[in-house]
Amino acid sequence: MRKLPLILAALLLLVCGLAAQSAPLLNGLNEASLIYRSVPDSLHVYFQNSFGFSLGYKNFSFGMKFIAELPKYSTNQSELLEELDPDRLSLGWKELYASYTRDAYLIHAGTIEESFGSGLIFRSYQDLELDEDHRVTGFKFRYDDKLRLKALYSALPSPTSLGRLDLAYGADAEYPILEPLTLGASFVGMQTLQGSSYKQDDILGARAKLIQDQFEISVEGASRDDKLVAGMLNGLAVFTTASAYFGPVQLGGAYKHYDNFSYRNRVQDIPLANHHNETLADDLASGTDERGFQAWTNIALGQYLSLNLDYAEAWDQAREKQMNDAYAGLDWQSGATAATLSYSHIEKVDSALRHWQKEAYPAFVVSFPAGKTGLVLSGEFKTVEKLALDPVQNEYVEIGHYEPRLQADLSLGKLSLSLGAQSWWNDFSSILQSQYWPSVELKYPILADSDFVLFAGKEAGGKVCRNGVCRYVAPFSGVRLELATRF
Amino acid sequence: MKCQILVIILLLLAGSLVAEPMPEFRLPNASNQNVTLAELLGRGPVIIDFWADYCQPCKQAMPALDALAQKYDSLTVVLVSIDAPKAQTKAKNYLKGKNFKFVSLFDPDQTLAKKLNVTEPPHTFILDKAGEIVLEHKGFVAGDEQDYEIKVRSLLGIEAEKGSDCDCEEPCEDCDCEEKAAPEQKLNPVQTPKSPCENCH
Repeated sequence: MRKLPLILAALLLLVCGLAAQSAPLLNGLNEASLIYRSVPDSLHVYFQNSFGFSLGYKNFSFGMKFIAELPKYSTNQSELLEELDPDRLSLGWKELYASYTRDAYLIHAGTIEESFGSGLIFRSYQDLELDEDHRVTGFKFRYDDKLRLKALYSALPSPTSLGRLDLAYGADAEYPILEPLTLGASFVGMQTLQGSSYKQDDILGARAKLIQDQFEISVEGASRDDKLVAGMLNGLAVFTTASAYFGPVQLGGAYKHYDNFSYRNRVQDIPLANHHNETLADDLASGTDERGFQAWTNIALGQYLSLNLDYAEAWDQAREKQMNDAYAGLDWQSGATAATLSYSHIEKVDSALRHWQKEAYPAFVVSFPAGKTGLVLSGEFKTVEKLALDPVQNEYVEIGHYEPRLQADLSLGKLSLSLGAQSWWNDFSSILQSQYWPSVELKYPILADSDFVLFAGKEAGGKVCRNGVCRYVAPFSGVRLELATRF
Repeated sequence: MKCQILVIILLLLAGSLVAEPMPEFRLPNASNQNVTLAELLGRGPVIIDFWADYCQPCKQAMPALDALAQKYDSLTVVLVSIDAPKAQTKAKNYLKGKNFKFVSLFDPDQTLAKKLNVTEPPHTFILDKAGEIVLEHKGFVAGDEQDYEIKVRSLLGIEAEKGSDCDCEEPCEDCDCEEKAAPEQKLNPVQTPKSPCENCH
């Protein structure tokens, strides 16, 4: 321990020395939260902290993030815990990496975020919407010039054996063979622990992309060789998109064909080819058995108005599962005023399970500044109609509700205030008995790089945009004090 | 454990005393060609704005940023999409439909966003022509573009437009000549924009 002051002094000298020679770049963010949560578990009041920074000097960069989540609550509203689950406590380094970049070369070790092509074959990422971390840890090499090369070797926690690892490795290459045409190829190997042995999956992929001013076409295909499961058909995936631009009119389409291609959901991000990112069936992993197409158009009607139309269908090989997804939206945007009138339709059928479900919801979203007061009002109203077959009664049951949401954002000097109210009405006669999520958020920059945020109330979870910033939040009820400091 | 934390804090304190250049990057544009920071610098100030297709405030900021790009010839506005690879087509189509004067880049694996601790869009950085970050701003509400413009004008060596800088014969403190300047007006770094005084009175 007596060496510690010497080590500290040496490190300080090193950093200051580096500063004198060149300019090291340091970026950091600390987010501390003190939370009172109004749920009936034993830990009402708790503290969370996330501390991360990246340090770059010449060709080197180094970053880490330490997160203490005590406890880490699920993003699922139905999982509000009655009693605290010890497994929900989380503390540790969630990100740690070092990299060296020179010209077009990169060598990286540690936490990796990477994707090959559209993510169909491989994608290591953080899912902010679901608050899930699908990043792998390992080594990565990249050469990024006209020829783009990527190679990685990594590990990720096994979902079936606590404390043990699965392996993922692969390489990806892309080259513009002709000026508008780029060709690419990928290989991914997955070794997944099953019992006491590893199951090997080899995935080979190829893609082509043609980009010109007026149109863009991309085709991606891949095959999967599942070596352990005898008699299992090899997997196959095809995903293609096309877009064309004719002045104010844009047209586009997509086609997907996936067979036995869901080898590891956590390191794939399979394109779903529909507006609402809906899976073919709620209980079926995407990529298992799925075909479908999507067609869309966007028409600019003058300077401020645009019309979006989107239609998609999907089905499985036996045509037992089918779905369609439609969206029509009229957007108006001028300066700080924006409005969208839309209609969404999602229908899913599973004839084997005798399940049919339809959701249709018109919605109106508007956001506008109220005069010169600095007040911005926004509102949303959704009408959701669902039809589902009741297997006991053997008849279709209609379930409907309304989702109104109102928000007012106001800036008073440096203080930003956001008042929100959201509800879920089964019918208009039971408005007073319905569930409400009222909330207030205050934000104040106490220093140039430090924001203080106070939230009180309830929020249903999902994407929220308050005071000009968007983020995904977990369902919450209570009071939250946050201090975010950038350096 | 305490020692490790202490070391990190001291390192950060020491590091925070030094300058803040934009980290070097190499990201693909809408035509899938790489663009580096070095290629964007040297001409004048650069605004780098991180956005995502799901972010409404980001989309509200775009016309304001485009107006700045149209108004100041030597200003480069760069939009960096942090959308997932599978959502990039949607983001590209949105920009294509609007015909903005932006350099649009894509950072699906957060290589640049992570270095700058960008987690919640929109998040905007203004760089001088040497690549030093002179302003960092998180979020966008109407009026923020005025702060951006003040910073851009100061980087271009152009004085503030209001009041005495108007070419009006009479003082026009209440008028905002800047807002009323013709959008197609192009400026070089040493010019002061001509104020349309007829609109000021």
